[in-house]
Amino acid sequence: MTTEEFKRDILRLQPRMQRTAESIIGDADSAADAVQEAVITLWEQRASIKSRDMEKLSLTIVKRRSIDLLRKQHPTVPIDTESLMLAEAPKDDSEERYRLARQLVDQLPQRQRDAILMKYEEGLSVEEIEKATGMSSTHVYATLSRAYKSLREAIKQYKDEQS
Amino acid sequence: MDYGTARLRDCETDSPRSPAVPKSRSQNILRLNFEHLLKRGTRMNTENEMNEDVRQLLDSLEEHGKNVRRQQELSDLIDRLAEEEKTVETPRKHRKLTPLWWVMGAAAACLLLWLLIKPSMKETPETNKEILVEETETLDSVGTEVKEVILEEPVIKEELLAEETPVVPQKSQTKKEKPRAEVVEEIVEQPALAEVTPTKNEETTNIGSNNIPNESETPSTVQSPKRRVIRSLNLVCYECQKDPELYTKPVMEDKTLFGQPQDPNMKNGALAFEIKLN
Repeated sequence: MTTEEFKRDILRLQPRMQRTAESIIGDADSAADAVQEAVITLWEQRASIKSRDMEKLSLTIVKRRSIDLLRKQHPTVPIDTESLMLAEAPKDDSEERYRLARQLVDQLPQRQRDAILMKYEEGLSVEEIEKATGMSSTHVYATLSRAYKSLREAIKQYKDEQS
Repeated sequence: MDYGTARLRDCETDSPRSPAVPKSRSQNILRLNFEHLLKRGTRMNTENEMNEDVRQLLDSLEEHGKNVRRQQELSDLIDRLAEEEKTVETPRKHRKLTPLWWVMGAAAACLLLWLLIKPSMKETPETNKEILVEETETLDSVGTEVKEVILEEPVIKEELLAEETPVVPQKSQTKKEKPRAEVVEEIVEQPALAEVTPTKNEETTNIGSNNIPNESETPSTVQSPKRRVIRSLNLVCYECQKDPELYTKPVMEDKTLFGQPQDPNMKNGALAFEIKLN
């Protein structure tokens, strides 16, 4: 398995690995750590891994790493390892929701859309948005407020169309 | 927001109801607190503007953004792991191959040169001639030395020597001087030495195989333990030889620790003797 093939498989499986780890640990950041550790383990064993076994193996390793992290975080709490290992990751409709959200956000005016995407998708703070756009903080807040209002109207309109 | 600011403006402007009195310090503090609450209230209003649908929509955007960042981190991690693997592998290859090839090449070149030069060195007749000339010269010089020494040897009877020198060589001496005897044999086999025939002088008698020249005159290799002992008892006196009356035979009354007769004149292994001179 080449580096590019490995990367492609890992990036494809990353959301599922993340959700699985989150379902065990309950914390997104710790789950991300568990996923990274699992990826390192997979990288070391990639010579003996077949592409078709990648999904099962990656999820198993992620579960084990998550249980290890959970034990470190809560050493006194008994953990039912068997049930956690058998647990399936929750179904994911995040892609559909994101597609719909993006569709609605793209209908907003340029400035409002930029402010919403910077704040939520890119994770920038208001100060960072100020620096990036050159707007004042009051102006950023006002822009965001107008964007929320527009989105509410857009969702209402979408629901009406669907019904 | 508009309502708040309007109220703030109302507070700030001088209304006909409010008398035009100078603003006290407490009034200023109240005004600042009111502005602060007003700002906070506007933010709360903007948050409240979002209903649940909008919140979910923004959450999905946020989640997607986080996932994209995590994927980017994983991609960087994989790239870093690949780079580390490459940097670890490449020096190993160089370490294995480069020095080996250099050493092997140099060794092969040296071997070839040696093989090419060696036969040509052997075949050169000039060098062989030079070596032969040097050998004959050295042998001749040794032969003449031996000749001279033999001519100067004193007259001593073998029987007397055998009786008077019952010396047993020590183990350490034999061990050390064994190879010397071998060297002597080799030299005797040389043709140049064979030519050296000790010419018997009328006045002197050759003592045969026990006759060994002095250490200072002959090479040190041509010595054996027995011969050395004999040399130590080498009582050479040309005056005595010429006139035997002058020579006094040593008295052998005293005995050594080993019960052998000892000359009283013997001191420190060397035999001192008196010569009756005129």
